[in-house]
Amino acid sequence: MQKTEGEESKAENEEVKQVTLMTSDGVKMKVEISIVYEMEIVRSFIEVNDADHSVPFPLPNVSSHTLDLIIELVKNEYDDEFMKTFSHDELKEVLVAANYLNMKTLLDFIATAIANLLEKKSVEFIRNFFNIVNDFTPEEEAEIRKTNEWVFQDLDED
Amino acid sequence: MSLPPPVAPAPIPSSSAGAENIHAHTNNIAPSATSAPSPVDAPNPSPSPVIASTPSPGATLPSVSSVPSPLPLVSPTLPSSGGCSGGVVDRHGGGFKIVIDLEPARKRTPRCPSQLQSLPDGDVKLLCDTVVESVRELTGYDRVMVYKFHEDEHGEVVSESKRPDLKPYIGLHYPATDIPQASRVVQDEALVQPLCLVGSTLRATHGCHAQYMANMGSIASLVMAVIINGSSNSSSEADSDSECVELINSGSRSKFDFNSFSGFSSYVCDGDATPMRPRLGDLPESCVALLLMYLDPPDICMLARLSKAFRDASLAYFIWESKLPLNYKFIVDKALKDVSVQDSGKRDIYARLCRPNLFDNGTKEIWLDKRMGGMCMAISSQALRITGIDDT
Repeated sequence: MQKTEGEESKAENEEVKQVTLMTSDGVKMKVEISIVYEMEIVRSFIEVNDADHSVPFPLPNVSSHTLDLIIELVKNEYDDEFMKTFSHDELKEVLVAANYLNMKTLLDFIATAIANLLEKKSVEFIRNFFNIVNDFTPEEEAEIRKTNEWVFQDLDED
Repeated sequence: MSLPPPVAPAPIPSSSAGAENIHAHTNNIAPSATSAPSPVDAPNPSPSPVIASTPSPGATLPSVSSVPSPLPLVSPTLPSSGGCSGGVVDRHGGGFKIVIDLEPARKRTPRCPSQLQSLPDGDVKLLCDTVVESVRELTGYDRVMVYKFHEDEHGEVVSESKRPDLKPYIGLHYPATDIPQASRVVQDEALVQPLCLVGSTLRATHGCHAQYMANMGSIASLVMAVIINGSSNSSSEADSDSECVELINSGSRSKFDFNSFSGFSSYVCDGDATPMRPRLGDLPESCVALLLMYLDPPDICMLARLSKAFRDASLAYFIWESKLPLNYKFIVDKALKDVSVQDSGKRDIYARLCRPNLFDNGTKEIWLDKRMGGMCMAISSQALRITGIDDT
């Protein structure tokens, strides 16, 4: 009896505490309000008292796949193991989306993860890896090498 | 409409400056309209952008003191459901005077994204008109304008929303020299880096622009960019005595970006807009800097070679601030004799401290571990004293 009540109230709560988000590929997703609250950009709108929750909130530069990943990450309380299953493209997409949605915790988490990935990799490797265009002239690049020379002198190989 | 050129600023008497601009917000106002900065009702309000007050309907209790920089004491969000208000309480001066700043809570925050996205494609005029209305409603600024740059670089006010008692600016043409240089070079194709600061959280408004706004009697200014269709080929800028909207037309990407403003952001896409796959290189500078903060100095310096965006991000002060030891200022004072280094960037201070630095007549040496930022010290035997023998 108690269990049934619990289930009912849970179902009821879920119905109330969901916000519909519409992703760039036109998919409407119902997301729990606790997760949506982490998205500062959406939060400011849904916190308004008489906000109309029936209208899907548009997120024109977050794909449904990325939103799925973000929701799973938040649900799993930012589980490292789960994130290790992400492809590099997915990592980048989540980073860009977290920045857009203004999700502080996720942004810190994903930035740490990518930073770990970038650690001790060669410049050429990272450029290729993340599809970054080298927009320096050879002179500019030499200049930077020179400016930052101090850090590489007498550095222990570790 | 002739305005004082920004290069030769003519200070406007503060009495006239206050007239149109008493009710304006600084650009860090939150859309929830709960906490406005405190009012400073001094006899001679200075046209500084840090001074702001509530929008016109606000019930403001003026300060009995005229201390220009109030200390924020509390900034409570009062319950807004009862049609009540948001408020700010400030302590002035020695703490004996209290200023309470109240304003009516708004019934609802305008739903700009849906409102803008529901507009028909391709009608820039309608978009501008809707933007100025929405922005004014949202921010409470006195005047919101969009102005368009023509080919000879002069600007025309193409859209405006203002307080009813103000003189309309719509249709006025600004000579090219009145528009800050920084605004006009936005579209220069020779520049690889965009000069638009919309995505930036690390840089402030151009000083020239701030002076220009002050000359116009503005006490607060807010810039936003509308990018329509990709690479910048034409642009317009909006501007008011307390408000400024920037419009930039560009190529394959179609976005309306409110990013400069309270974390509120929205995109308008027209039919042919295709979502772009993100590349790490497309990240805003602040985001790259955040990423770099999690790396060690040698990695940061190496990544600075990736691209210009990474190089610029690698100079962010907060990255190096976090790498420097907490007491680095003391070390700089103690060990670095040349004062010049104290004025340089945090990265340069870090670099300098990584070299061995002699102090106390060369008997002691201090340096930072490059990778971890830990402090290392060597003390010469000459600097050692044996208690009872050497201390006489």
